[in-house]
Amino acid sequence: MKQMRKKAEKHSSKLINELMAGRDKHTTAMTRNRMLLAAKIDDGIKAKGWGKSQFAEKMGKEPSVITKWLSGTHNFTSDRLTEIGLVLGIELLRVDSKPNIIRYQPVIVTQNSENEIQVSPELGMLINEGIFSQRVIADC
Amino acid sequence: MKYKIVGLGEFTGNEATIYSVILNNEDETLFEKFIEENINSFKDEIYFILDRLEVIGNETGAREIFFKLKEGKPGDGVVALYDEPDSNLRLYCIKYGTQIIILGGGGQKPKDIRTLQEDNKLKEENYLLRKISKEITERIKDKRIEFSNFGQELEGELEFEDETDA
Repeated sequence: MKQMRKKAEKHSSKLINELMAGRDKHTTAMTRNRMLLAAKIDDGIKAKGWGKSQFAEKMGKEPSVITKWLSGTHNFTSDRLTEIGLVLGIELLRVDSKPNIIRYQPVIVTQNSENEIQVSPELGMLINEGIFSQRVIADC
Repeated sequence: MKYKIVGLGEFTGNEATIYSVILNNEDETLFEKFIEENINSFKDEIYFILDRLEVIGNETGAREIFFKLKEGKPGDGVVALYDEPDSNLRLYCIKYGTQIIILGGGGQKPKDIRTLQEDNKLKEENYLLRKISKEITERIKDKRIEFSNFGQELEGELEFEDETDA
């Protein structure tokens, strides 16, 4: 009998839903990053108009190593990503933006004869100078 | 044998549509059976496969680099999802471009075999997907199945029944 032309029926799986909900978010993030990096390298190779073998040659590696890198399962070192980025002319690591710097300065906390706490230099002065963030003050 | 292609919403996203197959009006897809068969022995590998399918569906699409190609007959699209290098599992799929995957079953791949034909379970799962791929291809040629939504979905007669059973 001729069937109606239609989209596939949606199948919902309790088993898959439960497993998806129970995943370790760190492992999931690592898997995702490995795959996204591989995809970016794949795009970089294609943008150069190279095949896997040509890229292997440029990297001084066997094609089987490149296959592994591109499979999205490989845990790259930052040195390797730098090297690949230079060969492909793409940026795989973003380290050029200035990191947030929290500056710490030692303080002396004393208690006088009237049980008053004294901090030197004064906390107010340090805050005005931007030495302490709010979080660091809370740590004090 | 009867079977139908069903969509798996858990993995389908903007980049790829993920399907699996239900045989003989059973409750579970081939992919769910694969999970059940292996979750106790290879839990980490199963989680890894779920993670990868989610990324493929939502972010990268089914790029060739993520699959071991030519696991079936030439041009039939039967592939295996790459997993961790020291993993024990093989999951077979049919891949149409980067936007459609049909998940089949698979099993444990013993380290001491070179070809899937050396393992009965892998051979059975792989040959089932080869058969399904062949029948889908015939329907695509006959325009009984078409690619819709800019190549991201299958549409048409997605239920199959062997003529000997009909």
